[in-house]
Amino acid sequence: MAKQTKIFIVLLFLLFLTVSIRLGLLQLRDNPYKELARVNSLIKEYVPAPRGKIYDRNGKLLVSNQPVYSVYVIPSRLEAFDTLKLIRLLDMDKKTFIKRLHRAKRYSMFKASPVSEEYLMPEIAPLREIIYEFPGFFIKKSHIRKYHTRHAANVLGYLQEVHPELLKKDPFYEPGDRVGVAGIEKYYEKKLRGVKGVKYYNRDKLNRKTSSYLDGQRDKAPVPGKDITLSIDIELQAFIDTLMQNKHGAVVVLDPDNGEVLALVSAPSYAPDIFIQRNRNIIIQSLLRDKLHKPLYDRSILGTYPPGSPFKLINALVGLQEGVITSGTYYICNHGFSYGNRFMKCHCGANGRPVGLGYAVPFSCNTFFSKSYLKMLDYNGNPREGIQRWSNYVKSFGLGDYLGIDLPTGRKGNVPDSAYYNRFFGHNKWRGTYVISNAIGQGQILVTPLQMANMTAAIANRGFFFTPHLAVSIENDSIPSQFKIKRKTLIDKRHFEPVIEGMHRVYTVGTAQSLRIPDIDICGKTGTAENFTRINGKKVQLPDHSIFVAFAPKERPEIVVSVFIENGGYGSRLAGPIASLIIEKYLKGKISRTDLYDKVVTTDLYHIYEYKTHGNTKENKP
Amino acid sequence: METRRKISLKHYDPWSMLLYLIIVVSGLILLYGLDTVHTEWHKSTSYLSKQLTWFGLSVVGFALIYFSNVNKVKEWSSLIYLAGILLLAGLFVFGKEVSGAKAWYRIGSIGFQPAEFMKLAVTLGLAKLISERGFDLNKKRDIFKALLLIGVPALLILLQPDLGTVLVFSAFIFVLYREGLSGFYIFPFVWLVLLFFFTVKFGASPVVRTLVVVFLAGALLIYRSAKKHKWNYIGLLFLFLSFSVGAVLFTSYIYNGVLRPHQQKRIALLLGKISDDQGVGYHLKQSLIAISNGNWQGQGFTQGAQLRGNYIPEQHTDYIFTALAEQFGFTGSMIFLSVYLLFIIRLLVLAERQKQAFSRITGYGLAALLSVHLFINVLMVMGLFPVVGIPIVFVSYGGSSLFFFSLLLFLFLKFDANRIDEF
Repeated sequence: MAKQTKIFIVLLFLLFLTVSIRLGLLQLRDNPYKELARVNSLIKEYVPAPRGKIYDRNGKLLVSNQPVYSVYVIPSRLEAFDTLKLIRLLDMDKKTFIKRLHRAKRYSMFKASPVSEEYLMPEIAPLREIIYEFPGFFIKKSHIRKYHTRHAANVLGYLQEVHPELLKKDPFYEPGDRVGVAGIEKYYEKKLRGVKGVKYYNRDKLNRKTSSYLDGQRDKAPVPGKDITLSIDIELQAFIDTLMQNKHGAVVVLDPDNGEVLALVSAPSYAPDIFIQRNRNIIIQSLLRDKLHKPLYDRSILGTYPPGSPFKLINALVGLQEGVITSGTYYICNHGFSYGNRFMKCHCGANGRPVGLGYAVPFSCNTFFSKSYLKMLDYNGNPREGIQRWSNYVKSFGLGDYLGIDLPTGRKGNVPDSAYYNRFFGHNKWRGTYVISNAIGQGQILVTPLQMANMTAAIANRGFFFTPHLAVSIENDSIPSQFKIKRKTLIDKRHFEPVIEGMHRVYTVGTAQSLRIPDIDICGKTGTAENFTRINGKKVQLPDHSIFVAFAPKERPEIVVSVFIENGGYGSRLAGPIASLIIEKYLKGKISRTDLYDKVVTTDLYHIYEYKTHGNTKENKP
Repeated sequence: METRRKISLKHYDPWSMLLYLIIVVSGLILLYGLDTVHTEWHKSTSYLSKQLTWFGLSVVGFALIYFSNVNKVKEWSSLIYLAGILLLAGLFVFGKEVSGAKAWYRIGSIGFQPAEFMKLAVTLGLAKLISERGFDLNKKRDIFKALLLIGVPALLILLQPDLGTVLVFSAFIFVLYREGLSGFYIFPFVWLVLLFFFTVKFGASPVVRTLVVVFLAGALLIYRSAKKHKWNYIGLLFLFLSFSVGAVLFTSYIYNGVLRPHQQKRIALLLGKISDDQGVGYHLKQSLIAISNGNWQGQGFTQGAQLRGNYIPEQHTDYIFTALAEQFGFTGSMIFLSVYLLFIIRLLVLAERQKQAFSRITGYGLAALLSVHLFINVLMVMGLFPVVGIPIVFVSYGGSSLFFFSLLLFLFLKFDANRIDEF
């Protein structure tokens, strides 16, 4: 045998020795891997944690839990069974049942997956007696939400069975678990869900669990989810729901002192418990298909509208700050304002007399705000720089960006700046008059009702606001710190008084004087936004959107309201009364003007929405 | 040669046939176990039946070789080699991409891996080249020829990319060594591998610094002690230093510039530079758990938490040893490894008794290939070698590997049986 071959064989023996030693060390000595093998050989079972409850600001229980029972399957243990009997007991149709059985098999042959709906105790009782006739199936108790209110569905959100995508991503979840997919339930999911407990069992050769592992020494008890108290006043929310019936729109009520949301109403709405109904899929589908009313669409945080005249308040503040409006600023208003060859109408009623800030706010003078806006833009001879400055002021009120409320959705709205108009008209191809609509809150500005309420809160506070939020306290835990930070606007405090005085005069002499409440100094501003649609190819002007913002009392304000009613007419027709009633209800606890209340409640705008959506039919002439 | 005796089965070496059968059958048993466990998971794999089909084909191959005149093989080996190269090159056009590498031809449900064929082709090609008259592994020109013959297919496989299979080609170094390549050429190769690991583990600059210190110390020692030619020795040492430093820098470039992130990670993981339980490390961790769980006697056939829990991906191919170790324990594993080692040594003994260089090199190449597969695989699943895709020949699931290695074995056994006619 060649020398080299001997060396090769020696090398092989050396390798063999290395392998043997390593193998011996791994297999014959106790090492951490053996412990891991033991854990891998156990059956690990999670014990669900009760989900945190949700309360309103006055401690009224809104959402709690109730036990339900559903049928789970472990596919590897299935034997032949009487399918018809089972689905009759389960009150399911065969197709759905078979589909779910297949889905369970696809997920895992050894892990349990749900195959049925949830049943309350009396419904499941007959099956419980004979479940042993169906090997592989078992009944598992779980909890679903129980709702103690029929309001604030858009705030509360809802739970859904966890999606397979999330199952893969987050090991916390198992099939059949519920996860918050909207509203507070989603935003605070991690606080509400708690921590699951764990139980270990020994398993036998057929993967069945036998006894508790180490007598449960390793088991962990579940940690219940945290209860959350909301800033919502559910009574106020319900009151507003009633006011808003048969209307489309949104109402946002804030406490300007701390940014707490007292009510967040989107109309039309739905009851929160539709998501726990047995036939929820059908209900939800029908709501999703309702293109006329769009009940699932939360107009309060997702609807973006032109702010209309309330935006004049911001322009007044910016004008004061920039020095283009002073106590001595007067413009002549002659039924409107002409620029180039165009004319903007004005209904302030000044008719040729000079108009100052003290008259322009309560009577909503378009001329005054247009002229001062133009002057502001050209202040430094350059509208591009002017609009950039203006845009920065406006954005400091929380407009044009996500406010950061503790809800999972939202809209930015729009506050144009010079870059926006350079894109819109072409670089430097525009002048102040091109964007004149901004002066009166029309044009390219878009805000959500929540943003508008927040803007009003910033005025009420004379220059600052807190990020609006819904959670007031989370059991043993503080609310996120960003909700405690004062956000300042770029307007000096002294400029607010003349504007607030103007808002007060809206109630004393101006557009809302019929809506005064004795003993309460309200400050407000009406708004009317024109809107158009195309019906049968023709541009048609629809009834205006009715807008109102208000806060009260004038000194040390406690409540801010913004109301937006789609096609509700001019501001003081619907939005104004609603705001006034809300303020009265909140500050006084009761309604004295029952005739006004009845008038608002009985107003039905649905024929307009039908006209808007389906065109003119015999039944719904506007 | 004309008056040849009839070769019959009894001229075949019974020991290697027996060991071969034991190894193949143990592989089939492991695959059957995996199929059984997978049925419980409703994954319905059919490793056993597919592997049996390929084993059947191998038996057909055995019959063909048995009845044919294998002396022709030497003449054809250049053609076989060329066909292998063409098949490999064709992959870049017709190959099917499976998990990032174009390593397969697929005709219907049958997959074919040309790299497995190439192992056979290179063995025969190398045997032919070296056995040619006048070929001398001490001549640089001939060394270059041999390295080219090995290197071209290795490069094509590297481009697939399939680093594991390329590593297997290092087996041929042993063949060259056996056939007279000086150890002087092997040493730099081993030194390069060591430098690679040191560089990856510690980074380029500490290694270079150490090398320089060692060089200075060495130079001082030579200067003090050597009586004659001291400058020659120091020059030689300096040459060696330059070569090493160059290699370190090149390694650093290869590691950071050429190797793909997952390969970097595997090497870094092995060297203990990183720990990672979810990504690359998951495989290794589960593999070590399974092996540890074997204990002395094993958990029993189709038993064991790791096996039943289906924790180990690719347990039928690269990680088949874990199935063996968990089910049959230390005892079973040691018996298996001993049988395999005996088989390899028996082949080496057979190779050494060949009278023709061509036969000898074929057998030697086969033995070397089997050794490299076995030990790299086993060291890998035990966490002593970077994770690369190398199966255990005759045991791991994989038709191409089983078939072509069986053919190579049967060819060699026929050569061995023929030996009695040769002078």
